[in-house]
Amino acid sequence: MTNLKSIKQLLSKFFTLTLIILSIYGCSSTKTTVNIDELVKVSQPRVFTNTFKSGLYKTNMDIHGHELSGLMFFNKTDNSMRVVMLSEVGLKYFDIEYINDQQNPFIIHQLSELLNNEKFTYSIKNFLKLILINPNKPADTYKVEESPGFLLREENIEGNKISYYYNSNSGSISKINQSGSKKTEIILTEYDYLSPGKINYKQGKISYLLSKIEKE
Amino acid sequence: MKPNKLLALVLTFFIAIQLFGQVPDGFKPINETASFKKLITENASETQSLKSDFIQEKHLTMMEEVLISKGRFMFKKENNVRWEYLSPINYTILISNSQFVINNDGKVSSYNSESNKLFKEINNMILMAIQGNFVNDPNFTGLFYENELKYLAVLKPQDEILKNILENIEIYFDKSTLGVAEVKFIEPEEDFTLIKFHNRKQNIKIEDDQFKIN
Repeated sequence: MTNLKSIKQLLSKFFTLTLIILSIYGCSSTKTTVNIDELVKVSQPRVFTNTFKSGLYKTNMDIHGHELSGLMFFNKTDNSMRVVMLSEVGLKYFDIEYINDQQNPFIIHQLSELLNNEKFTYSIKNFLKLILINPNKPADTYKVEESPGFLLREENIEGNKISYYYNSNSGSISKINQSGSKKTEIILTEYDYLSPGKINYKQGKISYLLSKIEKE
Repeated sequence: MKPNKLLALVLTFFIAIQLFGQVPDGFKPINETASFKKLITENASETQSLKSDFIQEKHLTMMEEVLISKGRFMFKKENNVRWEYLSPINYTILISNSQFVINNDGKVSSYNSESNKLFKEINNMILMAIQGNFVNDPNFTGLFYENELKYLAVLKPQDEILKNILENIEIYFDKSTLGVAEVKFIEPEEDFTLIKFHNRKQNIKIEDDQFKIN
């Protein structure tokens, strides 16, 4: 009897402890998966708004210790985004077009010999692919963040999880994370009503810092 | 007429049209190129210092709008240049003899232009744009034109690095002062950069400090 009683007490303590642990973890969880339909009412995540036409960014790049600076120009057409980077003196580093094509989304119009290597071409394509998100493409999951008004959209592309943290009202994306061997983080801040004021991209030993400037 | 002769005549006609088409609008070829080159060389050798403001226009075929930068430059013999963008960015290139210094919004980087071919070419191009100092430069071949107000030198790069970047360079000289009024850098895909100079002052006193980062 004594043994049975002590086993009951032990089990009771175990369940109580389990409940406490579960409730603690439950409280500290920051994300709740929600039905996609619930999010139809809120803004879709975006870096550039639908009304964005063009933008100019002062750009500093660090590519494995080699620094490169200039101006990056984004020009939106009906079906694509054309991105051109120029040196300050006007020479063109690259001219890339991102089109709405799942198989071949990039047209490289021009790429300077200086940058024509695998590391750079991967990073610039990855950067553009992540920031030029297609909001109409269905995500794998949507989650509600702990911070009020922020949502998380996740999708898996080629085994890498891509997470977009965005404002539920404006849709503006504040952070993009990509998991996998080429782990990437993009921080986007200082939004005006069309586009972010600063974009900070980091992927291994490659980083870009873009600061929006007003055209003359 | 034999078919071969007819073909030759037709080809000659089309080549002539093409050559005629290459003469820039509003200009005619300079007959006495030796005299023109002498004039430019003499003016360059007399130029001890220069100071000017500039407006840089970037024309891209993929877009309607033109990207505009504004700045100023200073030059002092033999090889001291300050090329400074004031808007919309703060960016300064300082060249003092073979030293090449860039001040990118407060971040200063220094290079030796003698050991870096690209910087050496940029150095040469800036000097060429400022002085029109191209007459004895083996990296370019030139065609020369004029109209009532201007001389025009169209330079084709011979160097492999420059050939990849530039189709040709057009330098417009004001006939009354022989100063460079405009320089146009034309890229292989027809995009171009146009630099217009104004408030030009020649042979004025410029302190050496202007070519050093403070």
